[in-house]
Amino acid sequence: MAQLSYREAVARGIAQEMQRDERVVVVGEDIAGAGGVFKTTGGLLERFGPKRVIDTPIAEQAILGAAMGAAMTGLRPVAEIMFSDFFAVCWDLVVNQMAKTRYMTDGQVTMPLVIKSGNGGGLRFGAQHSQSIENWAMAVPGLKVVTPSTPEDMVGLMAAAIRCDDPVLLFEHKALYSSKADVPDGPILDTLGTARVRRPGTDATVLALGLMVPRALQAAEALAGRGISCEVIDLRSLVPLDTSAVLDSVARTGRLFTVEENPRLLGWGAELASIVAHEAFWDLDGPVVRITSPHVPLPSADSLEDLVLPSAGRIEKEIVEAMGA
Amino acid sequence: MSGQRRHRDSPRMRRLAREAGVDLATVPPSGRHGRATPEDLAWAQDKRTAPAAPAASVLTPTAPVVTPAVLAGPAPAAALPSSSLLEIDVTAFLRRAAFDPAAVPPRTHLLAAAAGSLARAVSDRRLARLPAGPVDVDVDDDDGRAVAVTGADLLSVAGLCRMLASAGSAPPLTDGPPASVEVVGTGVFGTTVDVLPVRSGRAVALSVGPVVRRPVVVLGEDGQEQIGIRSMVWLALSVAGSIEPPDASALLARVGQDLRLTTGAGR
Repeated sequence: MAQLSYREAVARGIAQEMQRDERVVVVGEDIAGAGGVFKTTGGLLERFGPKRVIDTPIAEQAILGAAMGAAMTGLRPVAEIMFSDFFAVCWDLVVNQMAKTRYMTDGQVTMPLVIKSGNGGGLRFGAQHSQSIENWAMAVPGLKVVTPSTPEDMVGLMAAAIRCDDPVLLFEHKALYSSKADVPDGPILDTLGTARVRRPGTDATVLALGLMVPRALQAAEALAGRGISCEVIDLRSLVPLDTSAVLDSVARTGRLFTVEENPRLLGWGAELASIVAHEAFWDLDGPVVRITSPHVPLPSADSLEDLVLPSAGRIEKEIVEAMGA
Repeated sequence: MSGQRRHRDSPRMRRLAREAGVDLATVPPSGRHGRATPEDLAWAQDKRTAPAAPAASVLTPTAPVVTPAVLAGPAPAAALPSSSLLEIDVTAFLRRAAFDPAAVPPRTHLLAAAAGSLARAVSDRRLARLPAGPVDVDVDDDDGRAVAVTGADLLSVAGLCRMLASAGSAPPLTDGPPASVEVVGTGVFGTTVDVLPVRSGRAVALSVGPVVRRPVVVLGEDGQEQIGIRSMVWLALSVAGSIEPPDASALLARVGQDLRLTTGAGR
């Protein structure tokens, strides 16, 4: 057991799979010699060499085009899109090619590739480098969408993503890169599509993802002092989605809150609210409440960005108001 | 939704009631906004299956039966008002009232708190569609002493206590028009709960029954259910036809909740 940072866990997860399977390669801008702009691929070049750890030009379409071709011809690439906002410039490849190839070839061609990307706000990167875009990806059939929130989950889910035969978009939250936690020694393999109960509770189910997980836990701790027991569930994966974990929890608590970093309209919580309204309506003791960023571009100013993103204080306040405590 | 009432109770409560074969409209609610809770439903089920009469010792009056002044007049105009019943645990309330520096008897304190709470609830026009303005309350204590309190919704419990404690010197109720709200201590009537008629000119009548110490199921500090001896009291609220039964339930729930919260009892 060793303490590992979230950023180190990214590299460890990739290295674990590169060691295990020589078909795994890494491509991206500044990921080799520089070890990644966010230092999430440090040491891979030295350990596995330039044929498997490949720097690319500043061209997202080229990065993903190369990765897609490699995946179609027998490799298992891990491609990095530095900021998830840049998915917008290579969305045709992701949506129309990667997501549909296996379906359109009747399974004759698989697409075993991972696109890892720095995602989310809180670091004053402004409107074009801070977006939380999991909900873009989960709207596209054929893509899998994963967002680990802890170093151990990062290692295990990265490994599971690399071993998956379908394209997986793995979002690393930029504000979590420096967070640290104990991670077991040895290989770790997790399961895509499984949620984790981070804190058990009896009065309300709180769903969170990425950076919102520690904030929801902080709010739950404060709420416990006010007599409200929250069950905090880290979804970890939006596609596949662990609906049974959510429905089981709602059946026990009768209340559902989603804590979403994405702008409000059509955020992932809207889909969860829909599922619960359909399948757990008769378990609900009150309306589903979504705690989200407002539908605005993310501001650059410190104070405004802090105002927009759900904070532990806002989560606590909105839950208290909804629970009437 | 025009012409229809929105559902007050949550989907879960409606499902639980459906499974239990209980009509939620018959369950006095104690939750927020006049909503029934699982505990209310359990109470309703217990009530449905329980023997009709409680133990004889509970019914034994501890003092002579006294008819309150407000009931000594002409026969009520409405013979069968709509009524809601609620039993609440006042153990903590009485414990705190016993330390009241004003030395008001705990029973007076309970009546004052109930009267103030009901007045405030009635002043909330969402629950009782009465004319705007301060809510006047006629209060009869267990001994038949009566006091008319003008603007009871604006008075503190301490102020109400003082007024009730000096009830003997208050003007008789028959001197003026009846207040819209009437609160009667029925602690010496000899029954655990008395449903009052709503007299002509009034909108709401609340009876506060005797405090009975009896075994009830309580949650222990370890979260497990256990039997405890608690001081329980029945509240019965009758309303005139101008107030809908669900609103009457909500009024009563508010009073019950206030009496619990006033003492710092848990959620």
